[in-house]
Amino acid sequence: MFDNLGQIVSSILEGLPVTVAATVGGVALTIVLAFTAGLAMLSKSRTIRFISRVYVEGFRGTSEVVQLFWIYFVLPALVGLQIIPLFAGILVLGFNHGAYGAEIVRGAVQSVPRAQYEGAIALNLGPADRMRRVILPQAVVEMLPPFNNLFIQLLKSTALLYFISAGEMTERGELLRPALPMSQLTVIYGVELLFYLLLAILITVVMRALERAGARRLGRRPPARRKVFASSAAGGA
Amino acid sequence: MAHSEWTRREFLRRTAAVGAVAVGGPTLLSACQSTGGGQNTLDAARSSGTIRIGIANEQPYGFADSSGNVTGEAPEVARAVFRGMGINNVQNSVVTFDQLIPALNARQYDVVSAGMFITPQRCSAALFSNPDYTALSALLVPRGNPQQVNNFTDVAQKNVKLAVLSGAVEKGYATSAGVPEGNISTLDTQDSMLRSVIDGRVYAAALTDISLQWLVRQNPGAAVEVTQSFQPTENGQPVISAGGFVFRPGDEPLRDAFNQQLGSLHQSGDWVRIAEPFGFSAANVPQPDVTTQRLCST
Amino acid sequence: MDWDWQNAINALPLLAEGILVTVELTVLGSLLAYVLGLVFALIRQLRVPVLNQAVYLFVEGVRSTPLLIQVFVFFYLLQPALGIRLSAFVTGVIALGVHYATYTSEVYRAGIEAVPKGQWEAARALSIPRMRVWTGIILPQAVPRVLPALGNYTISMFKETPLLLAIGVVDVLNSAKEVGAETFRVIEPYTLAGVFFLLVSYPASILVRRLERRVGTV
Repeated sequence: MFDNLGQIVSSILEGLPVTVAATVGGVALTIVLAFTAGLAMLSKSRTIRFISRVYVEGFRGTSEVVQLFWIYFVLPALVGLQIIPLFAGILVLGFNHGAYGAEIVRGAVQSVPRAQYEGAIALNLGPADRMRRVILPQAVVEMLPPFNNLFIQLLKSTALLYFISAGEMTERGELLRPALPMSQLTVIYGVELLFYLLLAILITVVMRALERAGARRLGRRPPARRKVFASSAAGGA
Repeated sequence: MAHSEWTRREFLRRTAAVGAVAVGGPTLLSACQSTGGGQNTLDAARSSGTIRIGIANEQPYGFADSSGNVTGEAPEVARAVFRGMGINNVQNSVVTFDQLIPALNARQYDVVSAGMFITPQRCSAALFSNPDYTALSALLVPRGNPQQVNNFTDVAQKNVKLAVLSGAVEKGYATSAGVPEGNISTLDTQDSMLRSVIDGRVYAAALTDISLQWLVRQNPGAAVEVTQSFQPTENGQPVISAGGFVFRPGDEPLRDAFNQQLGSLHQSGDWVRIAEPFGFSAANVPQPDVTTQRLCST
Repeated sequence: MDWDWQNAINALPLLAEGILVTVELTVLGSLLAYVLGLVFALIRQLRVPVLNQAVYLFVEGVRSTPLLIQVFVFFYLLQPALGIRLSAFVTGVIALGVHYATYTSEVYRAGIEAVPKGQWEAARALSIPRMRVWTGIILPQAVPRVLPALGNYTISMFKETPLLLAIGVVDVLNSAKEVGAETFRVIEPYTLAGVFFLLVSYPASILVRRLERRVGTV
């Protein structure tokens, strides 16, 4: 049963750096876009609010798989550019989850108590300083649990890069499928699932550490140690 | 408080910096390679010594072996051809068969090396090399072939389910033999077709005889067998099935240079030497009267 | 290559067939997720021995791994191993339903926990049978509040259905791919598929937000 285990693990391991790169790149882009669009949705300017709404609804409304197909097959044909699959994947993952993240940022900023704004105004802080020094530090801590869920969603979505031949773990496994005896399918999928599970746990561990650090900095009591999984907060998808 | 304030800001700033690099860096450096700019694909490949081919993970035409290396009749022939053209680095992308031409036109690679048959419809969307090989059709059936299904007419008459590869020619053969749409299961990969027959989801699967004979040899434990090879018919006319390499419209120089090398491989006998390990023989070398022009026009 | 209206119009009939399949997948998958999620949540809430732990591990495992691989495992591994043979469509419905049940179970849990403690205490004081407490008191209060969250998961599921093309489900995206396989042009069908998703999910999300304002949220 495990005759080909070494071969399978090493082949899927070759896809691991791509999966990790897609996740890290996607998470980084998500953070940038979530903050940009999330804060833009709270802007006083109607135009800015409208543009960020269009971005958020546009990316949340169209399916991620369709977006991948579109950026891989349609965009290059329309503009005559070649896009490297991994980069296309990072773009779609980032823009898509950034749209979900924008709602998290908006919600967290709005949840900061009114008194904090008033206090900041009383201290004569300008709008930028108010946001940077008073509101965001508190809001960021609120965002961490939902972002944890979002990043795990993003990690899971990297498997969709199979459709655009980015060379990540799922594609490595599918490529291997016909090359090995049929019974080895169990091992292939077992190894893949295990890797994704470990990466998901890793994300949660990191985010929990940030949560504790963030709570300490705010002088709040750090959240109790919870189990390795992220699910206690609902929402996220 | 001042200290923690600084760290928080630092955290935010670093996050933003990482994000900016992730967004901006690849864009500027490598992500979008303009493929226009006056230079044609042949010149670009010659000057960089690199070309990218597309395969569909179909054995034995173009597939990944158990260590993940791409091999097969078409990639190996393509490598020999490109070596002859001074292009030594051949990279590959794997997509499903039905996406080979769309991905070619989306510039994900420059040549389809998947043993794709030359048909008039495909000729209208892409350029074909000279015929690389000819093959016959066959069906993959359960061992013993209990329903005695030996060709597409049998599939229609016995009312059994048939798997075809999405975007491949066999679907047309099947429907023109009278197989109802509801009995045709269009699958994405050769491996899914094999598993569908083994798991009993369909009775038969249709591909070239080369492909199916190879599958049965590779999976001795699977309770399947291949029918006798036959020449398929479409609309009552026998179809000559010859496969070739596929290029983007406008890449005529690349195709012409490719044809020249392919011709000498066929003539020197090197082609048979390269293709033999994949189940091909001299019988698969196209006859002189089988030309791309003829296959494109019927 | 440019947009070609003729090709877009020619693609519509095939796309329409795919749209129907996508909608069916979403409706049936959601129903399964709503029911199964409640079952999961009740098993957890009632602390049914053994099942409780089993459901916990199952829920966390499913939530931490990609749906695409779960679909492959269910189709190519589990069904032959169990000696069953479901069509790609039914496989898709079950995979979607089970995957999303792990999310809806959390929604129900939050909904049940949001029912005020006093309700439990009052029920106990009146010595209402346990079964009646659930069906007559707790769930009727919990369920309306979870509806918006369930709606959101249905929208998410709707947008995830296209990955089922990997096992041969002919949804809207697979239909678009088929158009591409026939015409070798994918600009129009893939763009139309995206527009379809937007046209359905945007109004749906507005409806869910409106519902949220009416019944609150968990």
